[in-house]
Amino acid sequence: MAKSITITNGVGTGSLINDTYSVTSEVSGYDATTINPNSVTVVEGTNSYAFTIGATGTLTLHVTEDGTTTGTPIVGATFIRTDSAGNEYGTSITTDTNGDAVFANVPYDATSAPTIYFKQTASDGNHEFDNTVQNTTMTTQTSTLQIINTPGATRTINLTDANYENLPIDTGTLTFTN
Amino acid sequence: MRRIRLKFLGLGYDRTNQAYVRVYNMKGCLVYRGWTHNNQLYLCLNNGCYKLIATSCTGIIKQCFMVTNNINTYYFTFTNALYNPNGNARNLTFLLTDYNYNNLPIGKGILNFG
Repeated sequence: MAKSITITNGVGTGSLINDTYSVTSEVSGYDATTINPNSVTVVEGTNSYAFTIGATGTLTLHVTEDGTTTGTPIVGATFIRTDSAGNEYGTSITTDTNGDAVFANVPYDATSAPTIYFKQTASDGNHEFDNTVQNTTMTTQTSTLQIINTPGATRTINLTDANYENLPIDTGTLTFTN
Repeated sequence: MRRIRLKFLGLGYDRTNQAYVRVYNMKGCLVYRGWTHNNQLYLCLNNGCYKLIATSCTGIIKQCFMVTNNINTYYFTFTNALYNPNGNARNLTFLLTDYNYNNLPIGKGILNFG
């Protein structure tokens, strides 16, 4: 007799007698054939069983100064997948010379796509960025999201002589490291 | 009128996966309705024949039963139950994460064991 376990936020509970089971999955947005393992033996003394599943969508984050398809691309911005609480998963992706960073193997579904969470962890050093958790859903296998990284505001820096009040330094360089 | 127990096999524990139960007398009058708790419920009935309709997420039971002096507990089984009713199943935890993003939990889904 088949038994179904409902998964919520990665966890489900239920009772099964000791036996060997074939495992199938129903997860919106994910490829059911990738459930791993697809067979499990429930044995005495082991009460927790872990499975993984994969998806085949591709999400491109296109990062520009103005958040448009034709804006000046930002190179070197980094992003990472998260959950809704901001916990990070997987490895960071980085924008290329076109301003594109690509999340591969993300879920999509035409009618009930799961939410994909991510956040930007850095820009190129010259642009502001939103480091909060963002989300999107994909109804097609590939999708592109426009991300804006505005140029850092122009600041005025004054350098004067410590011993002669307000005496400006003619020339020099200040280096700011964050 | 006697206090009897209706015990349902195939439900969950405590308040999880319980059943909504209606009991009718043979005249078709509703004499009890309510939720089970921890697979069972107690009610007071006179001896006689009753019709039970119990609904849970794992199915529905429509069954007549006879209340007699000698029996205090009456058993009913959800045959398509998630929880195995034979008594030697135990609560297990199943984790489902994204294969490509280490430990990323899957928000919603179903695992089928056959």
